[in-house]
Amino acid sequence: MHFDWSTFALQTVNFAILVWLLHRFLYRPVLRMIDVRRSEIEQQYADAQTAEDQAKAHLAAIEAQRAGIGAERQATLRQAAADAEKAAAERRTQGEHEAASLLADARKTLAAERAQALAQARRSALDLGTHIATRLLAQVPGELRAAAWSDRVGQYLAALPEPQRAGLAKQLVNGGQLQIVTAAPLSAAAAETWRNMLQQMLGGRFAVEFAVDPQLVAGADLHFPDAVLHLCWQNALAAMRTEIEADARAR
Amino acid sequence: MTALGSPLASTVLFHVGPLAVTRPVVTTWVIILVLTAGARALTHRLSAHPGRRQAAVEAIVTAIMDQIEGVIGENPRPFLPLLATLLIFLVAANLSGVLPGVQAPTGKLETPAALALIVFAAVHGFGVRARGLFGYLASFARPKLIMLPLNLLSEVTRTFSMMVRLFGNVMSGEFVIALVVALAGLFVPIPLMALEILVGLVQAYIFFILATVFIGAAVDTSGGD
Repeated sequence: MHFDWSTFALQTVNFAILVWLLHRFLYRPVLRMIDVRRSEIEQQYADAQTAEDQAKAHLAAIEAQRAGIGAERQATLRQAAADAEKAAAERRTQGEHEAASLLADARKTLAAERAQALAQARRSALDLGTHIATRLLAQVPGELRAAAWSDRVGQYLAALPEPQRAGLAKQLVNGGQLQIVTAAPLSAAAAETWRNMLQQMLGGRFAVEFAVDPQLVAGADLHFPDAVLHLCWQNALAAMRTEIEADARAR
Repeated sequence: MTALGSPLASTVLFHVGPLAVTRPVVTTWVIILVLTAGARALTHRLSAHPGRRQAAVEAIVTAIMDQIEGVIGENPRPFLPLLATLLIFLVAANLSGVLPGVQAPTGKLETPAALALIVFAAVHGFGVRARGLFGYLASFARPKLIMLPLNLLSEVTRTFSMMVRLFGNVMSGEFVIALVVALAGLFVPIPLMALEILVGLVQAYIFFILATVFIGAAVDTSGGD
């Protein structure tokens, strides 16, 4: 068997040289380029990952913002509904108060008007009664009225306490004059009857003068020098009117 | 092959001092020159955005790296220069015999022997670097101390078998083609030449993958041997 050691040695060296040459001119440049591309791809992947993370964060922020808008919208709607309900309740309460106030005012006005109408009706009734009484009395003959009222005046004077009656008589001494005002003129006989009755009740002789005032309706007023005795219906009707109005106000 | 001679003998072309330069050596120089020039031409204008040619080169390198990583299970870059050069050179050398008037360097015993020697040295070199000297030497005594002689012997025999397998296949193919050409005519051995191409590629891959497996076993620190 032939074996050439020179060829063996040279081939060993040749292969070692080839390893170095290919490493120098093939593997190293190719691997370097692969590394560059890989790092570039990794960088692009990292950039893409960063962009994706940013997009996700942005999306999350938008979703959070959108959720916030929804919640804010719901809160606004709830607040608006609550405000509207509150305003409606306030308006309803105010309306009820205003209606109650209007009702109370109406009732007051109605009561006042009714009271006023009632007072007016009373006054009208009094005026009507006075008018009716005046017309009825006008149909009674004057002598009868004078006699009737002279008797009543006599009874009144007789019923007065003695000191008071004496005080009235005292005003007529020494030329004092008593004026008798009636609603209708008295006849001479009736006047004489009045004069006699008064002089008898008050004692002494004094001057008596007669006057007429239709406003008295009936009866007579006795005008002493320092006092007046109202014994006419005008005065009685006025007192009645005053009592009735006082009674109405008291109610 | 113009004349039938000993398939083991190499024609001496000239001498450089005491060294006889034979035809396989010159053929290897030409192969080295072509491979280096081709590598230089393919890689002197690499771009981050590769063209078709650059993509093909990167695909080949990446495929070899994936093959190495698949066998060794580690980062293939430290092993890439040796193993990839082994594969590329063997493909070129084996297929060079198809060219008219060219003898494949691997058809002579010295070239497979040189490659086997380099693989043998690389296996132990990577093993010592991965495990440490004593750790690597201790791996020969596993799983039992009694296995030490057998393990040492297998280190030699497997390398020897790898060498002989390559040499025998390539030499026999060339020898058969030469016989057919001499006996039958010029175009008759074409199918045999096609078969020789296939055999050359297969043997190159076998040599490459065996070397990878041996190195992988040497650098395996997981307890395997």
